[in-house]
Amino acid sequence: MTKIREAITAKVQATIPMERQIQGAHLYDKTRRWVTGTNGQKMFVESPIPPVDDLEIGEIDLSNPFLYRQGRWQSYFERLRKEAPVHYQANSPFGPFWSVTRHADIIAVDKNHDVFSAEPFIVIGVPPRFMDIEMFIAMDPPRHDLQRQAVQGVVAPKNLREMEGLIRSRVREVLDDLPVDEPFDWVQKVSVELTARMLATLLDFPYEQRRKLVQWSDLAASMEQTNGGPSDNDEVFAEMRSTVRELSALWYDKAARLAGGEEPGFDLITMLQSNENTKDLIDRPMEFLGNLTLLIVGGNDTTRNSMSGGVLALNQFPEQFEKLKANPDLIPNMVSEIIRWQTPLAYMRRIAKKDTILNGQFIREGDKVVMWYASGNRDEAVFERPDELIIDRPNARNHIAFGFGVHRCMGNRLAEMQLRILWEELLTRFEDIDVVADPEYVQSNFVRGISRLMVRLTPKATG
Amino acid sequence: MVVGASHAGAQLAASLRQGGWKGEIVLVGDEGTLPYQRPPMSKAYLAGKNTLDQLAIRSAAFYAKQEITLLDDSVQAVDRTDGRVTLSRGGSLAYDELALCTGARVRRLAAPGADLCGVHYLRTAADVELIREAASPGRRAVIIGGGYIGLETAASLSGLGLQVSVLEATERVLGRVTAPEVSAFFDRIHREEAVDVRTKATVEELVGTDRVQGVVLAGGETVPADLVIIGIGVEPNTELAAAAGLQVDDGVVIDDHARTSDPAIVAAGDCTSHLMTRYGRRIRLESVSSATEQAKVAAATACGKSQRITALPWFWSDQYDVKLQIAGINTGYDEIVLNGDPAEGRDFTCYYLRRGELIAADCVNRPRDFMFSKQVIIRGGQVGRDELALQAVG
Repeated sequence: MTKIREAITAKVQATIPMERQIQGAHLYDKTRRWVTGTNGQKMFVESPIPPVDDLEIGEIDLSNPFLYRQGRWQSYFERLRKEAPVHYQANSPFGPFWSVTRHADIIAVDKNHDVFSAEPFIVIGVPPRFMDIEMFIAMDPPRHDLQRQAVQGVVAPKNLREMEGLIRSRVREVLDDLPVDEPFDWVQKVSVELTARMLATLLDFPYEQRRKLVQWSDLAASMEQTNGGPSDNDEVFAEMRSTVRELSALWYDKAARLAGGEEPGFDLITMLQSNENTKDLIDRPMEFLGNLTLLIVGGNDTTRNSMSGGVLALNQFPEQFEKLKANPDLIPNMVSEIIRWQTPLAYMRRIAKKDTILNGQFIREGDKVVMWYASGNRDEAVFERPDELIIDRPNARNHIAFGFGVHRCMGNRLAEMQLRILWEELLTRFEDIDVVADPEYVQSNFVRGISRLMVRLTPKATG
Repeated sequence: MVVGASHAGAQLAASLRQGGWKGEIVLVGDEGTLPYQRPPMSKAYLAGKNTLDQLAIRSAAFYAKQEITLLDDSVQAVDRTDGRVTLSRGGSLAYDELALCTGARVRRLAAPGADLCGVHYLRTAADVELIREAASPGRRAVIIGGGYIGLETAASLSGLGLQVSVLEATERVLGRVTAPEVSAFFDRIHREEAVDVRTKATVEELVGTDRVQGVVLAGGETVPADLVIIGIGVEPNTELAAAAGLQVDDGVVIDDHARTSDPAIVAAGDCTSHLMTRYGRRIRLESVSSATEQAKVAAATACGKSQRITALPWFWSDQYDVKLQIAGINTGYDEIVLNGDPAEGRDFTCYYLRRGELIAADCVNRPRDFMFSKQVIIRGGQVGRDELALQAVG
């Protein structure tokens, strides 16, 4: 039965143009909102989150998209790690789910893809109907392996070495243009700008239109049904159509140039086209869109928020900034520590494929299991003084912000390289990077994002 | 020539090179080690979580590459007319610019028996190594002095499994530097960690036959001890500067450019006393951040550039799972505002105001509040009391 349905879906997807499909999904979603009377209604309205000690253990709901913004998350995670490391929340707005909060348990789940499936989604919620794009982060082996292999080359060590010079020159351009001795938003001028440039390079996307990638990625990653974000569905659908249009155009343009005898580039699209398993990806639109979205979102929010988080952390722990300035050799270790401290994606979700027992809790087949990397990275059993940024922390590299197992972040080396270069270039230019206003945080239970970070730069004394 | 291989000294030497100093740089220090980070001495290093190598500010290779000569010696005298210093191990060296980073030394306890075996002070890595050797689990440690060093030492030793007592002569711990509410908080957490904190405990004498065995209090009671650590503050090393005729007032007096009263001599770090316009008086700080800043400014001055000491001083203290971060200096406060409850849990902030303006903040496990406080104080301290009381948590 499933086979037939899959076959029909595949046929439908291959015949109906992608834009039409999205239009159809949009229409469906509008009708749903109209019928259910939820149009224009927000699923989440922010209200103060109580201190964790005011709650019964069963009331703790980590899916609240304001937990990070309100700064309550540490105490919530800490209590669960201590009292209920495998915790069941029966009544969340996203339905029931298990939370795994200890470092060791998270690794056990993440490694065990035979029992804990990444399909069909890796967020707590469910995307709008007919918008369930497919990406290999949410596929199990062997399908996952084939698709991942197709794009892995783009971040292979050889490619990274070739990219290093390019990244450095782009970082320098961005940093040399920054205002000094006056406040500006670090997120927009540095974190977003640098990641946009990087994405445009990886995709060989028209450089002057690079901000479109960011815009798309931001919308796709902040849908309320999936993670409690603030995106407006009408906006998401509209943006998605234009994205699909442009990414397909990019695909066909590349294919035509390749067919015309042009030297193959080392960008993602070319790689997909030259791999047996993905060369006709364009005929599987939801997968096409899914995998490109995955790589765009994967390279966008994560690196961006680590770039912002590093500045924030070094302002909260200025003695570490002093240590860094005294010894820039600490940068590589600091990069790992910043990624641990920020953990830009809070979790990945799994579904139990069969009944199983995890740290004494009985988990039924079909149950949602959420691995809270953000908690594992603050696990006092693994990290001393876990809430502090300690740039020379000996085991900083044991963080699990990249995940663990077959789904471990494909772009981890690229991310580390970008951050390393950023800090190397920052230290040669600026004496201080002072945060001058309270930061603003993203609404989401998935993305641990900083949306605004006003800073003032003090240039290094010269002459 | 830089006298004192301290935080300030190491920074000053490195900054000189960065600032374009072409000539020879000699860094004189008598601890026989590479310059290392001092704050972890009473914290992670005492607790055995770091090696001294890990705490080196820069590697030996760095000094070699920057052509900074590390001289294991100390300076006996400065001859300002000839521009020479006399070294303790004999000989003398000429200088074009002299930088004094002589730091501070522990204040000695003037009580009988303070020179017994098993009685320690805590300032240098060598001090800590001796304490660590003596600190086997189950032994009884008595700490004299309930200031930051005393309390940090108590936390580290209690973490190593010793039975710890803290003897504080005044009415409360940290009495010189924080509000009573903050003192009460630290009193409580140390008790919760099974440390025996005694206030109004004046030490009469230390007793023991060949090793220290107890500390006798003014009331006559004897607190038994296998080892004693004295942490009753530091005194600036100003003798060299004073003998050279430089102006000294609690510390070596420096201006905003880190110059001493002799324009060819700069000074930086714990040994200095600097007029801080923000607080309207001359202040001697025991702070890494200030030492680093002063060192950078001093290096700029020596290289003929003009920079000023302007940064807001800040400090931190690690005890158990508590990180206290302090922004500014609270002397002269007339009001406090609390956010969170120091009597319960382990996170709160105590804001210090003077005439309605924020001048300092003690932030306990609240790095966000710490960052916020620094911003407000730097901007001049104008802030609503409600805003302080309602600041977001974290």
